[in-house]
Amino acid sequence: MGRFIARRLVQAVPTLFGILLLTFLLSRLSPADPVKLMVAGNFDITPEDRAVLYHDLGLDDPLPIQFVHFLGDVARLNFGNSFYYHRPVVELIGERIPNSLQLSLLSLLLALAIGVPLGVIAAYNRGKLADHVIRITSVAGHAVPTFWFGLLFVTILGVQLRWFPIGSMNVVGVDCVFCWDRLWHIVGPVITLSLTGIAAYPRYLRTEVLEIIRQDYVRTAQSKGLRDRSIAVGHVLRNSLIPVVTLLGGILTIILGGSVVIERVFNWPGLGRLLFDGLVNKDYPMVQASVIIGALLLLVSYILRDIAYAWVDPRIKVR
Amino acid sequence: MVAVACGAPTPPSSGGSPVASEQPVPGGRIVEGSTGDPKTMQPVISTDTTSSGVWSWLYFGLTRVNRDTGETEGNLAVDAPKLSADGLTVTYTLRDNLVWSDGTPFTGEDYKYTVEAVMRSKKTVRKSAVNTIVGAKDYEAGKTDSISGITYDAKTITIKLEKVFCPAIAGLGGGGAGGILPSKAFKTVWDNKSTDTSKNIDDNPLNMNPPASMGPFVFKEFKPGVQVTLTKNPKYFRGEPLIDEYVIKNYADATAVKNALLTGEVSFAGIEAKDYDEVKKNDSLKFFQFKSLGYTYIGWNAKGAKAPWLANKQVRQALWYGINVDAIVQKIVFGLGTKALAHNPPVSWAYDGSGLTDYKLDVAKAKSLLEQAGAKMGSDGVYRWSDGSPMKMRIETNQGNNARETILQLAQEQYKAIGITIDPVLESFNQLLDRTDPGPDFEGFIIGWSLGADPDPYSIWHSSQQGKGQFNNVGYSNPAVDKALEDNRNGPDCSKDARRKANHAVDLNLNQDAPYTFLYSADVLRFAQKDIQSFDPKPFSTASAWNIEKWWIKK
Repeated sequence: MGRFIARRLVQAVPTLFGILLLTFLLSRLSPADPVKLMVAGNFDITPEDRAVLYHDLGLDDPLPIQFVHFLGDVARLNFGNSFYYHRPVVELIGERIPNSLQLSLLSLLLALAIGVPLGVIAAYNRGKLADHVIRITSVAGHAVPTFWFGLLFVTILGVQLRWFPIGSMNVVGVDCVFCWDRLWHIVGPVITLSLTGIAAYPRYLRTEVLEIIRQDYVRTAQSKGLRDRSIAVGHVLRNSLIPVVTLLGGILTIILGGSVVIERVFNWPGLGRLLFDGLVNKDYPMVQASVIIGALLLLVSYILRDIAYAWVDPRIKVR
Repeated sequence: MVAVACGAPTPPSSGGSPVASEQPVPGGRIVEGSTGDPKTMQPVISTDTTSSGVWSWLYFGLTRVNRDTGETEGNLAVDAPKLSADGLTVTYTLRDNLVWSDGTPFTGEDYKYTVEAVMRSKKTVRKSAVNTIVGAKDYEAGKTDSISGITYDAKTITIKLEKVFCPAIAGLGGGGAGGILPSKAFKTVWDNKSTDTSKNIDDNPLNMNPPASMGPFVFKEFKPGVQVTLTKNPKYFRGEPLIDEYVIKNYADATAVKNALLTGEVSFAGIEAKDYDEVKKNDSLKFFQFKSLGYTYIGWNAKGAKAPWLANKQVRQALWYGINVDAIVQKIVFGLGTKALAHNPPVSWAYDGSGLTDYKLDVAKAKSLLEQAGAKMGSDGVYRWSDGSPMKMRIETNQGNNARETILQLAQEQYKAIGITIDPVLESFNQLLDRTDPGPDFEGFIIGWSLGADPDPYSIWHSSQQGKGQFNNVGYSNPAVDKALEDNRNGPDCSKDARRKANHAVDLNLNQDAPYTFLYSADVLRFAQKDIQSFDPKPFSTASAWNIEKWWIKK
């Protein structure tokens, strides 16, 4: 397993290099002049001041030298100061990560906790009422755009019925994480964010489980007199998890990316809103840092996915 | 019985004020919704309303805008400044015993420091208010270490100006920045007594962590993406506020603020006309409506290469007669606004509506004006201009602004009836601003202006203001208007009467020349929770609630 992980990590290096090169080139070749953006709104910046800024930012160096400096900065996680907040981007992102993680982890858990059993139940009850209900709900859930569901949640359960807050992490004046107030606030965004997973997992799992329950080794287990439950969990479920693992690959990014919209709908001060505001405000260092961090996250989640494959299906290691 | 408790309000007469017999209860929190975080909490470099919505509670000017009339009145100074006969010396008399929240006395040095900070800043957009002070430009260039034109003693601040600049008098009270900084604290990050122009106040930790306040509140905490929290200032010169805390909470957009108002999370908020009916139904809210200092218009580019007819005054008048502005006021702002006939809005003290033509929809008159201008009707129902080209042009506006999109649809239909074809163009707001930079590449556009309390339409209408990035993008040029605009700025008579006369001359000409089809000034619609007492917004009190120290929350 150790060698497998090492090999995947080595393979990730060229991908990482490509991502960094692309991000660097896109930012340098885009028509937006960073100095112009930095001094936007300043009426009396002299050409000399500009030249000093270009020099300070290293923008007067040849491109390859700039790229080397850029790599150094990325290695030190130095993405510069946000044009909007005038503070280091890393600091701003660091502040928001815990907020986004609360949402993404909880909704991932919720999606798995509901989606996986539903898939198994649907397969074991093929053609019966339970199967139909699960399939129809799953398709419907897939068809509903999450932001729309979120807006409905806010409008009906928040504004009209007042059962839940219309957004934010806490009531004004309260500042706690492990408390009822936070739990009350997190219900809406977590349910909304987990909707995609709750809808998707049963569909994939059902197909996979149906295939696996017809396999010889399942029949063997049954004829050995093993209990249905232990066959379902030990033989069927484990072997059916491959498509779930595939779906989980990139899930970190998908959940964080999906939260750009959800965080806006629920006024959640996470990474997604930071990125969105960065785009709206043309906050160039912020967007660059978000792209790189997003890409890294994707890379890491793919590696984790491969490791999970290897764990679920030992044959993958050999290939 | 009249309430006489410490800091008790004299009950104002309008809606939402407490009944005289009610005793104000101290305590509680006011929550205001904003859409975005403040970029800075320091006025010199501030350019956005979220930022000014924070620092305006902390840093005050010597004068402020009168809530009802928009005229200048005393704030930290006892009264509006005294102007010498030649208009070149401005004197402020300070209130007694002014102290910052940290106990430091307020002095003329705070004022001078702020002006000097503005002059040395490389990020400010506010120099025009103070760069006519004697010695300001020398200080900016590093030739001196102090602005010689500002002198002060314990009671007065005297400012000498190089030339008369009427609009500056309103702006001088804020030291150019709008709010005066606590010099003692800020001197630790930037020393004003220096000739080194490379140093300034633009980037320092105090810009996001205000050290002291002259206003009703003191800065407590800023959580990016969440809120700014202010607490009451017991040393506020108008009296300690009754409420304990003022929170400026960040929401994703205007809809979220509206929802927060409906659920009681936000104490008060302005809403758009389209939401009026929905919000009005909520019986825990009270409503305030007042005139605004802005207007929406269709601009006609007289220099548009593809529509040479726009240079003709009769054509522009025809375009005004050809659209039903009264219907727009009714259907788009639901009657919650006023028809605009010229630049200065009715709420401004400079407004004089006499002699202005009220353009009402008149298709026959519009057509006759087009024909007088030399247009001939084509067989397809579209007029041909004198060069033979069909009268067809674009009107652009920003996508997502429902009111403007609807006006554009209406214009397309109604101008068809007078024989002019419109190509509607929707684009992002930034694109619209880029596209309508002075030049020949655009024809008509729908947008609006938000104006300041001091009437100074120079940058919008003077013929010299047609360069890249300037605001006279319709290519308007009229020597009589230029003269009136200059009189309004440079006097030498800066009296209200003289400036009202100058502004009236501008308005009369604009009303006849029709460089814009002026549409309407939408009213400001504001709702507040019924439990907030003494809340009494007025046309010119939107930036900082004028009587916040008297607000209290009824349990």
